[in-house]
Amino acid sequence: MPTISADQALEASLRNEAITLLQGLLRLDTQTPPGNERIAADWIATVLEREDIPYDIVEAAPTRATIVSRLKAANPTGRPVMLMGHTDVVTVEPENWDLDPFCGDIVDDFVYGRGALDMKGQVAANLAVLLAIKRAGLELTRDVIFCAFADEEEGGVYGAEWIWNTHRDLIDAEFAINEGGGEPITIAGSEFIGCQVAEKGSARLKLTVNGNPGHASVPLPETAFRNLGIALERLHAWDSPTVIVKPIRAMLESMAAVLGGDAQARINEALTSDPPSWEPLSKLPLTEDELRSLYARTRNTVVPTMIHGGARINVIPSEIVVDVDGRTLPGEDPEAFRAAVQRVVGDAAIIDLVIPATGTEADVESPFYDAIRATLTRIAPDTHLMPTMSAGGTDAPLIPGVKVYGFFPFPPSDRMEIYEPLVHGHNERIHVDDLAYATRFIHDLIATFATS
Amino acid sequence: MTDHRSDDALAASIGEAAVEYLAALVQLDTTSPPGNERQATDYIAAVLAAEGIEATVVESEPGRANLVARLRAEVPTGRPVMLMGHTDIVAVERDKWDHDPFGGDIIDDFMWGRGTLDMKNQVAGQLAAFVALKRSGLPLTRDVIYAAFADEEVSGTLGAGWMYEHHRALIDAEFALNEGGGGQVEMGGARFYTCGTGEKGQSILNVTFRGNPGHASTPIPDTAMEKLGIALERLRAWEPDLTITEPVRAMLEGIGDVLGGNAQAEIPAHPRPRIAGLGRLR
Repeated sequence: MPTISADQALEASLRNEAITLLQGLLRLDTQTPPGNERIAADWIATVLEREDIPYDIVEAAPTRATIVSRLKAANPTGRPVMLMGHTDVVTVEPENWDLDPFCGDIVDDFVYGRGALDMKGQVAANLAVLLAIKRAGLELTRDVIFCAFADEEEGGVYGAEWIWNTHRDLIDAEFAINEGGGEPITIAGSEFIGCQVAEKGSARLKLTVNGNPGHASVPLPETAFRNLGIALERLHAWDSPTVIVKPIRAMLESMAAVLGGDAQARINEALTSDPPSWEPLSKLPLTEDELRSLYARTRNTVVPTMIHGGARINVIPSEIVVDVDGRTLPGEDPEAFRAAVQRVVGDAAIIDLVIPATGTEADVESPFYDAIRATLTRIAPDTHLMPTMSAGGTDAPLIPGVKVYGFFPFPPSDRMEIYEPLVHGHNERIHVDDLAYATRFIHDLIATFATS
Repeated sequence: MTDHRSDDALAASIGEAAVEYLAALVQLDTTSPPGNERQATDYIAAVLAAEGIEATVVESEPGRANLVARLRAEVPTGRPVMLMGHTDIVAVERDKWDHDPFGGDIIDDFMWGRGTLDMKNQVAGQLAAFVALKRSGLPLTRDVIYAAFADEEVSGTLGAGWMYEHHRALIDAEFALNEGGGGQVEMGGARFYTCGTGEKGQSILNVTFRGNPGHASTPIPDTAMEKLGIALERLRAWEPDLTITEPVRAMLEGIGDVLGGNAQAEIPAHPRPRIAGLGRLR
């Protein structure tokens, strides 16, 4: 009988626990709408009860359940750290799946099911970590909170936002680890992994064009369609000014430090020019997609996506409405943003702010970010941690008092290409090695950070 | 030989009949879709039967009925003339009406109801005229056809178009009187009545823009929306060639003949029209 080390035993236990928990979660249909996250909360509750860990289940509306649990530090020297996630998943088109989207089966080492990547995988990892820390009886210096929100995919009104407004004491952590980062990226031969420290705000704008109505058999001047053409042209021609917010500055600085040479010079040029300049950044050794992504992260953006207008083939409409997806940098005032877009379209259209949003950012100079870096250095010494900012989309801005870091690390592999279309797509699945890798990472991070 | 007194009496009797027919037709809900024009053709067929006129009613689909009747010339010297119309009407928003859109009530000498202008009015008027012709026993030199079609408002594929395709012999007239003209226009102190002699075709075009799809958080080039903006701008800037067709030439010449002077001079006398000249016609 071969002997195994305690570390190997821990590794195997975390791996098996996370896989089993993920399979269980994937078998619960929590598609939103309607969500019905209560079945996930109840299922997690039975797991916690077996381990004698207390929990709270709270509902913003019937079945829209969030479960929160806490391992208490006997004599805390710091505020809590939170493992956060959400149990709702986006809808599926089962006919386009090779397997039942709620089967949770393992085929060729991939666990299949809606939510495997977004984000029941991380919820399962978080839960496995919580159980391991409890079983180990570690002497905590800060509380460890496990939280699985409802209603992330549809905006958080019945989840994070409601909990923050009504049950803040349950989740009042100093730091949290969340979805959103952890993808490996190779730049000019160097390995980076992004930690999402900031998010742009996702503002919904309404662009309304008006004009003369009439019968379509007789062309008129000054119609809504004429103004629509002008407004769309102006929106597309807009070169939104380059703004480098702190997390992006930190990201560029970490790239410069690793890459050196031309890349470093260009980044320095961009960071020192006043106003900041896109031109040197556009010459960085990045793919076209990466450049576009960087472009979007260095300015506010507006993208028209939906058109509503016209009722009959023979009637010139007096009004056409275009929904515009606006993304604002952290710190941007929503009204100032609306006014800027109004100036862009001028008298061709009226811009209204339907849903104002502000971004969020967490400090890159924090003990938690340092702990993430230290854990990464130990597990993957050749990979460089790089702060990133997403273009918006998680629960992080809804709990503004918590410094949220999006990090679910994947080891570099050709599986990243497989994953790319799966989030919100068909045949969503995660490889058991990747799930185990991230679970081990989160365990080591929390076991260290919450005991130091 | 004209007897003015009997002329007035005839006009009054035709007018009274038209009002009676119109009220009855308005009270039949032939909103299209679904149309259900059978109600109207049953009524018209009964009116005609009482006058000893046999009507042919054919349905393109259940309920979508077209009616045709004919007064025959004993020894025709020309091909038929047709009084045509449609009995279907467009939908109503009842909450926006001051009176029942299917009441046919007469208030301050106005008859209220959907179809009183489009075009049960003309269907009723033509029916009254048709009946009067029959009663008069005038010796016809060509057949007079009365036609009430279904499905004009939506497409005509179950009405006039279907009849022309499947029962052309019933409606094979040389000339027809239809809706579409009869409005008055004041120009240069003269009053003109319009008579619709031509119609433009209506082509429904689909313009498709294809572009790069992607997540809206990141702007990308060559999107469908961007192309839409460009295309709308180009459509707006397009100045189609001025073309004067025969009916429009006849209209302009008719105006020129009455108005004389500058107006007449601006009417194109040769086939190279200038919009600048026509633009001065007010």
